[in-house]
Amino acid sequence: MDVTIENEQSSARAPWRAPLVFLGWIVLGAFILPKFVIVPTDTLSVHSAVVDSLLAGQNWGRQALVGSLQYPLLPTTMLLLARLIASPFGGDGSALLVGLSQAWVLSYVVRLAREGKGTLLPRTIATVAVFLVFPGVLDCIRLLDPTWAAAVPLASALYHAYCWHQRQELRDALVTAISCGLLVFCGLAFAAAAIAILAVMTRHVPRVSRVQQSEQGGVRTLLWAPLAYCAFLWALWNWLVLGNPFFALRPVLLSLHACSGTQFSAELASAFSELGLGLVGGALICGLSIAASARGAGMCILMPLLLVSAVRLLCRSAGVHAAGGTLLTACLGGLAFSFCMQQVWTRDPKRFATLIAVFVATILAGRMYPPLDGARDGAFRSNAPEKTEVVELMDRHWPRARVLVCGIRAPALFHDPAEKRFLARADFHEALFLTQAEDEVMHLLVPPDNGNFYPRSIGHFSRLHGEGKPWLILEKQWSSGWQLWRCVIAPTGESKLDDL
Amino acid sequence: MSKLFNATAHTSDDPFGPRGFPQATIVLTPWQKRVFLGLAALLVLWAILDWRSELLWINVACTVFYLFVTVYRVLLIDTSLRHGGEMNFTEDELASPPGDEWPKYMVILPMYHEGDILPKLVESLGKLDYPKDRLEIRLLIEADDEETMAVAHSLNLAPPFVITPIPVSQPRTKPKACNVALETGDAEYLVIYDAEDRPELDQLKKAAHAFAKAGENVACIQGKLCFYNPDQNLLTKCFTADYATWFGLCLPGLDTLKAPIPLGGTSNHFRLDILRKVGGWDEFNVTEDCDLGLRLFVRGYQTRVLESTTWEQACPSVPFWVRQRSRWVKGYAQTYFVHTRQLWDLTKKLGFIGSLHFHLLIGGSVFCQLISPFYWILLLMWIFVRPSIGMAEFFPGPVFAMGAICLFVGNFIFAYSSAVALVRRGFGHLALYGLAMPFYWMLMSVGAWKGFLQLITKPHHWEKTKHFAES
Repeated sequence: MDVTIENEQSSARAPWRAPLVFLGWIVLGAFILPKFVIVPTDTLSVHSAVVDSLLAGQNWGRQALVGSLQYPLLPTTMLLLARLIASPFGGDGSALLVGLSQAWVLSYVVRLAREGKGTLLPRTIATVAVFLVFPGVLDCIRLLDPTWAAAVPLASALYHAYCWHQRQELRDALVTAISCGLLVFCGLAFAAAAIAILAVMTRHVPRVSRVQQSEQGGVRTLLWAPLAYCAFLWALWNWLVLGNPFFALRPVLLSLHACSGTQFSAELASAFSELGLGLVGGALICGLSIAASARGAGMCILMPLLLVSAVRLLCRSAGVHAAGGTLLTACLGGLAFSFCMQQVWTRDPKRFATLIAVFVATILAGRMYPPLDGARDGAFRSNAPEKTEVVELMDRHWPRARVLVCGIRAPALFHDPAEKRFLARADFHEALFLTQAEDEVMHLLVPPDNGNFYPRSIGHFSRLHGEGKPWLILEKQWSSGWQLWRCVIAPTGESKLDDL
Repeated sequence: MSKLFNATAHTSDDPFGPRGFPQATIVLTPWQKRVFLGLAALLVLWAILDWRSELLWINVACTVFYLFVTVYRVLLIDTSLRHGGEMNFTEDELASPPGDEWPKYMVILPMYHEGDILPKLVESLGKLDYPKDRLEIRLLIEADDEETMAVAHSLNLAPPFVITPIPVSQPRTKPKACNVALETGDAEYLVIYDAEDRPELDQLKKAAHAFAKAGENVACIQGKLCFYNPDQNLLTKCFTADYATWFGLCLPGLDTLKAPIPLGGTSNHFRLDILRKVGGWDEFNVTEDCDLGLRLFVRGYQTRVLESTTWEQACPSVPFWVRQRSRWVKGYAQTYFVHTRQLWDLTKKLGFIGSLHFHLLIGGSVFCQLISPFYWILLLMWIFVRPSIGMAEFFPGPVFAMGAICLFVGNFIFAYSSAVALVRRGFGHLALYGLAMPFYWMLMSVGAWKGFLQLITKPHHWEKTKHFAES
């Protein structure tokens, strides 16, 4: 009956504690943290454009929602939700989303601190402090980046993985599995983190799980099912919306295919030094050796960090933006140190001193490398022609014509919810474009072939940029490489503008 | 044996409650009929005036309802995983009686044409770990069931086994037989088992301890049910997942939330005096267990869940399974209509939260199973036919979003929870089948529609669960 009594006691505490914690989370996330979130990012502009497009009922919004690993689904959906909540009060949805997400992540750090032994308040302060001081974390906290929404399931997965190792409760394994499933909707780097966490947990099932050996297969099924299901959903949505179940993967695969060996090694070297993989990894291994008693849980942080770093290196080398990579690395690093701090707190002065030494060394070493710059992560806007400039040009020469902009980033720069001047499409279909051009004068705005907007030196955009088409006339080329082409097929009907 | 209680004769002139409490003698009362006819007329009129807006608003209502059910189910499961309200006892605790001596226990086993499995049953119950002088096991055999009666006599049964012939009278239902057993006997507790049941040997001791530990208002202890033949075929695997979810996740969640618990037909342990006080089972209701669970709750009594399993046989045959399911759905609908005859009174007695539990558990589960096929058809059309009209019209933005949550999130949660329940129940090797539950749900809807149609045509027909002899 002890278990029952304990359960009743915990449920008796819950009625006042849960609302209080929720209220605290709302106050912190909705009112306090947004004051510090001040640096807008290019990532935000793309997610915002997708949300605007979804609210306007545009097809591009749906395509961009499911068809991009670089601007993944979960942050966009959460931004949409935050906008809907904030707009009646005149608030900023993106700041609300980022604030609430950061508060949620911090709440997991606090909960992590509560798991240890010793005096609660100093331990909590120390654990939160090491999280915040880790290189890159504070910088990322200042970023107005919807990818923060992805940090929540990440923190949840890591926290519950830790709890699962400590308490062997099936519920913790389930929450971890579901959180890892959600990470599939957060882009390549986060998905890699999810796979690493689950891989570590799967390996530890026989040791940690309370179930008998014959039942361990069931626990493994439970661990992987949400991730597999979410991956299936993503493919299904890609098929339903874009006609190709692997549409979102295509730019990544093309970029990797186009990347030459020398280019790869050159980028790899610079990316490696910038990310400081050795620094972070080495520091963590030290930390984990300190916290040897909780090595299993620690591996759940270390392995994702290593795999995420590897994925980021690969992506950078191939010229692919891995969504929220910097944020993810910083959060994982911060959480790893919080975890180590929580493990060694008051346990052993020598271990504690060692951890502090490693921590200080990491901070100092972090200064020797270029800092983890979240604002630069995914930046692409520079040198693009202003939207007003293109509109003026069109008004001057082709007042009744429209411009097709393809991809995810480029349409976000020339976002036009009414589709009065700019038509957005996730992909370029020549036949559809020509059909459209029979009805109205159509232009095509092609971004430079620098890997920011489409895979470099490969694919139809790259060919268009380099060679054009027999039915296209280059009307203008900006110094940054942007091109405006006009379709010269004579229109057979009147302009669609008249209907708008 | 002298009658201590009258549970078989009518004591009231009320045609809707001949034994003094609302019974399923008639499916709908006159006012309920008028409401349904009024609603039907309204729908027809609306369809004539503007069928598009009617379909839109029906879709909105169904989608909101689905979303609500999804959230409710998640809450139940999470509560169960967090707190797990089942009562559990250690071997040490069971070594001695809860008081000076073990309380008198009556076990009743209604059976009809169960001659094949009776020897196994007697063997299984004979092993129950409970003092035989404090136990009475009544085999309730219909007087005209010569086959079962002959087998029972051939076994030369000795106490605690007692053969109780059930006089031939209408309605010929399991609860009528149970009520006959209820009329005599001076036991403190009573438990009902089905003919193919194999309760854990210490279940009676656990239940006795549970009653002693629980408050006086706990009238019933529900044991968990599970199947001993889960691997027989695909149907038994899915059925096992279904039972594991209900008894392993939903009931403990309901227990923790102190919600009404629809009893599970077997392994219900009662305080005999309270059972008699509330009038026993409704012999007209084809899920008399569900009705009794609610009646106890409405009268202020509580049902708790016991961590002890009764092993049953999972029906391995689709036609027989559909029949069994159709009876359950019909009975749930009967129960819903019986208890909503005085809706305002019920709401006052149950309170707002209790009423929500009642509507979602009883009415909601039937409604969900009935409307699901329409949405599957819509889904298949959406995926494969891609109709150019309809989607935007009947699924505007917010409705589409809610529908997508129900489809992609809700369904996965239901299937995943089945897998979770299987692992918790010790059937980890079947976890993958838990994820295949959507196909089983389609079969559930077939049973639901059969039951719903029978509610109109044969409301009191008892689709008896077929028990298959083991090879």
